[in-house]
Amino acid sequence: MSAEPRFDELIHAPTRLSIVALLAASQWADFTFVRDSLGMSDSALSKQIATLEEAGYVTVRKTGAGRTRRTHLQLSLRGRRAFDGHAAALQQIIADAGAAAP
Amino acid sequence: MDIDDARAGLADIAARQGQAVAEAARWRWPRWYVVGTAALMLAVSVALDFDHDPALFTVVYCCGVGLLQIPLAASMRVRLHRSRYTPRAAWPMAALLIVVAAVYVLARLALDAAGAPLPSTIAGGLMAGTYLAGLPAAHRMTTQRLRARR
Repeated sequence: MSAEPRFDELIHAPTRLSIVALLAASQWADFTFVRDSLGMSDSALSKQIATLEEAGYVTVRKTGAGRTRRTHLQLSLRGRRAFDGHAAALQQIIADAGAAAP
Repeated sequence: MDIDDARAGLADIAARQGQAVAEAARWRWPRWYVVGTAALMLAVSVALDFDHDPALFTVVYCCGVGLLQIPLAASMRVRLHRSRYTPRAAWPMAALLIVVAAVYVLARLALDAAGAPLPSTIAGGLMAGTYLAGLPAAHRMTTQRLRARR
């Protein structure tokens, strides 16, 4: 089933689009994997994750303690719907431009 | 937004999703997990030669494998979304499980019919051996299919 095209300003910011795209392919991803994949600092990623978490797009789960402490990031159902809608909107923009071309 | 922005956005999405798939494909089953699950198979098979309650030992096996999932998850940095495990990507692992179960059942039937001593233990040994021998190939085939789809 294809998603309803819906452009999402929150997701479209370049760094957040990359984060959400990584998480959309995953059931969950470790914070360090996302950080390393995007070449970001801990603080910069934390800030973007906080924004996405506040919007209800991402859930954060911490496990373990001390050296074994890990942070798992997961796209929520709402986040997944928003991402699918945003990707569909991008595809529609390209399709519309192709149809309008002489 | 113009068409170039849209194209760049879609290209970034494809690249990032490719990174997640590549990371998942790099992951290997930890040796302790493979040995642990094979040992559980063998232990349950041995127990079945001395006690005739397959349901109880099936539950014991499932609980043991379930407990091993906790440290197994800790060995991963990313777990791919279930939508990535299409039938085409998942069939090698599913086939391995079917073959492993079939080896036990067929060996057990043959050994019972021949009146061999400790039939479940011997069949369990064959089952665990098949699992250990087949897992690397099944894993390799799965990762090849995951990479090919991205």
